[in-house]
Amino acid sequence: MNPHRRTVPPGTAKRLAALVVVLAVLIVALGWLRARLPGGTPAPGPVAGLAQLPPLATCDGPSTTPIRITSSLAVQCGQRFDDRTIHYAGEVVGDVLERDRGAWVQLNDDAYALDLGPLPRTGIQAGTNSGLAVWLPTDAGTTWTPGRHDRRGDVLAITGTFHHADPDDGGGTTIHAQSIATIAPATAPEPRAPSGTVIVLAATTLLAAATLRTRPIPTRRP
Amino acid sequence: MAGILLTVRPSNADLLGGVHHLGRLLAVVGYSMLAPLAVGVALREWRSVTALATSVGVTLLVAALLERLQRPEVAPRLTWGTGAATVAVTWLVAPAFGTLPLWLTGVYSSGLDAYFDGVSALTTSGLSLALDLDHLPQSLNLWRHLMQFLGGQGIVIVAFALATSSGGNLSTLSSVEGRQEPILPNVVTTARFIARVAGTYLAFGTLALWAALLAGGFTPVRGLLHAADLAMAAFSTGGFAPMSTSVGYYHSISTELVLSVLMLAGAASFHLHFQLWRHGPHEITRNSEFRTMVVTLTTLTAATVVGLAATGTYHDVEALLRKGAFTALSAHTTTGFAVVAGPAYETQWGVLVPALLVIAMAIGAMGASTGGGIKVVRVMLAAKAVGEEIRRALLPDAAVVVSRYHAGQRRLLSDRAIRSATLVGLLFLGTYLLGSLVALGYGYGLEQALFESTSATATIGLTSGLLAPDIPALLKVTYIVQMWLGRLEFMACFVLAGYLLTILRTRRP
Repeated sequence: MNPHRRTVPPGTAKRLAALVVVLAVLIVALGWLRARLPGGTPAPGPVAGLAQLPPLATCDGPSTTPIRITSSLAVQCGQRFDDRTIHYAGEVVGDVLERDRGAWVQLNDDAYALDLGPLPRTGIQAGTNSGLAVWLPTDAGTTWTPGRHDRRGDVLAITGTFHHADPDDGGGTTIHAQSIATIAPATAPEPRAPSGTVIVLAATTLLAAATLRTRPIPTRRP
Repeated sequence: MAGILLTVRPSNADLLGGVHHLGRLLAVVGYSMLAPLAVGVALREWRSVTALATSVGVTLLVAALLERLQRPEVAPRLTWGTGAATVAVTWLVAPAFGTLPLWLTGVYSSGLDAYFDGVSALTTSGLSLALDLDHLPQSLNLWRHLMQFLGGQGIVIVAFALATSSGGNLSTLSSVEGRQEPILPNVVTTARFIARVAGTYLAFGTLALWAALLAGGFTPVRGLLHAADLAMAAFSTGGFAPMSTSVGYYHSISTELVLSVLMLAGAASFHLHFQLWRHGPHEITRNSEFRTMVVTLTTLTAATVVGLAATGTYHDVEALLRKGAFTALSAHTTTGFAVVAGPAYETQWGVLVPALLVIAMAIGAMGASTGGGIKVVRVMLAAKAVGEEIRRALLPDAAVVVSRYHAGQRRLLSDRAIRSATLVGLLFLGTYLLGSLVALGYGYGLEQALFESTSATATIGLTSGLLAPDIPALLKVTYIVQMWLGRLEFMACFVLAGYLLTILRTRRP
């Protein structure tokens, strides 16, 4: 008799087999859910108003005016545009932080902002976020709609002064807007509820877990 | 080392005991998801609610099955080796379940990226491969930060608080989870003390941040959620933030100040918190490790600010302090909050400042804190050992050279403490370099490779822009292993490796 084998209580093999079967079923079910849960709403498409804006600047090209920059240019060669009047376009995301005589907003110019719409809504992946902080003066209004998981926010085209290290923001890279135009209004939120099958699957898993956890483990008779 | 510890093959009862405790720890992760689930219902974020509900179910189901592999009449065994291996496995398995709700909502390019973020969250690293973070539902953002909070206090410690009846049995898990010395004699009372400290900082931190964010223009509900997220990430020295631009998003000096206090509190050892609670504030001036941290932090912060001024990027003192000092503090406390875009460290901050940040990250926080890195206590012990050797060389042969340090009480510097500190310190340095070599092999520059490797191993979260969803899979795996090794400070990982080798190599008699 193997002394090591005696240490395993009877029935362990059955439970181990049950665990493996349940894990296999869960992996298949989760894969199915992953394919159905995100997305389902068509992408709003490229913002039409971008075509009317000046062409994009480059880090090593001629410094002509008017200058239109992107957030990636601001990081790569921001000092080149310091204290100059520039054009920039992006989606309002997060919050409109109203303060004295204006508001800070984050304007993103990544693919989700200017083309695809929010990833949780469309399910289309296109890299990570990028954007710039913009100071909007009060006279420009503060009733902007920020983007959320279920809607794209207002897309603004602004003209303003670019600050590579803004003393009004403790050295942050910002734009102080002088003129603002909404080139694409926020899309309507679509709180698309998951399908009945998805809800049943989630509820079944929850119920199975609750049942198993609350049910006492049967003990072996002596 | 592992071979010495584990020359005997673990019995099946040992393995079942480990699996049982793994189930209990996974259950903590599952139950914790109920908080963001409730927020999701309140905010009507239905996709997130579905993903979270499924994840709660799956995690609790698997946890229950793992616990039930052993019948209740058999008391779960937990030897030191099994405990260490269980902790190491928990920090590999729990992230897979923790990241489930995020993976289900499609915010990662691949399963590997999702797992990367799960490991990053529970090890309190803060590196992230999430896509479109700025459109992430708030309930999922809350879960990301809650994972960091759980990881910061140690899922194990949380489990202690929940499983008071088996506290004595679980004491082995604590000893290998980066908190070698219990603060109080009883492990359950230690867990309760840690939970009380963390809860107090979380409550006051959230309120202070909420006030700062409301003053900064936030609406009450979003302000409260952001405040809770930030407080959890700051005290656990995690470094996640609700928005992709991290702390720079808030444009608020008061927010940065509150976060600085929370980061320092998180980087302070729980032993110091206990001494402060027991003996009052004068312990701060006596604690040798804290005094060492003040010296390294002040020196590195001053050098960072001066180095940054020399680059000419910032022209006023406020900017130098809010960018330079905040980033140095974030690096030294191993938090990883950022106030500039990652690539700016390389393109705008010169060569000296990123190098100083790498040194700050490498040293890390105090021992037995929520932070990572080599730990200030080890740097202090190594420095004292060098000083002792120099004194020994200068004094007559007959002189007896003794070094002391204060950690709650006066202690003599022992050879064992020096050996342990230098050994773990060398392991950290080796891991920083090995991770850099992998990135160098893929053609990345030395500065970026070293910065990212140190950030991963010391569980910081600052990135120089190298980390992105499109980097090679092997590099992501390297960083995952580094975060895991760094969080557990190697020993538990070695024990697990020894366990696996022993199982594979030895046959039953």
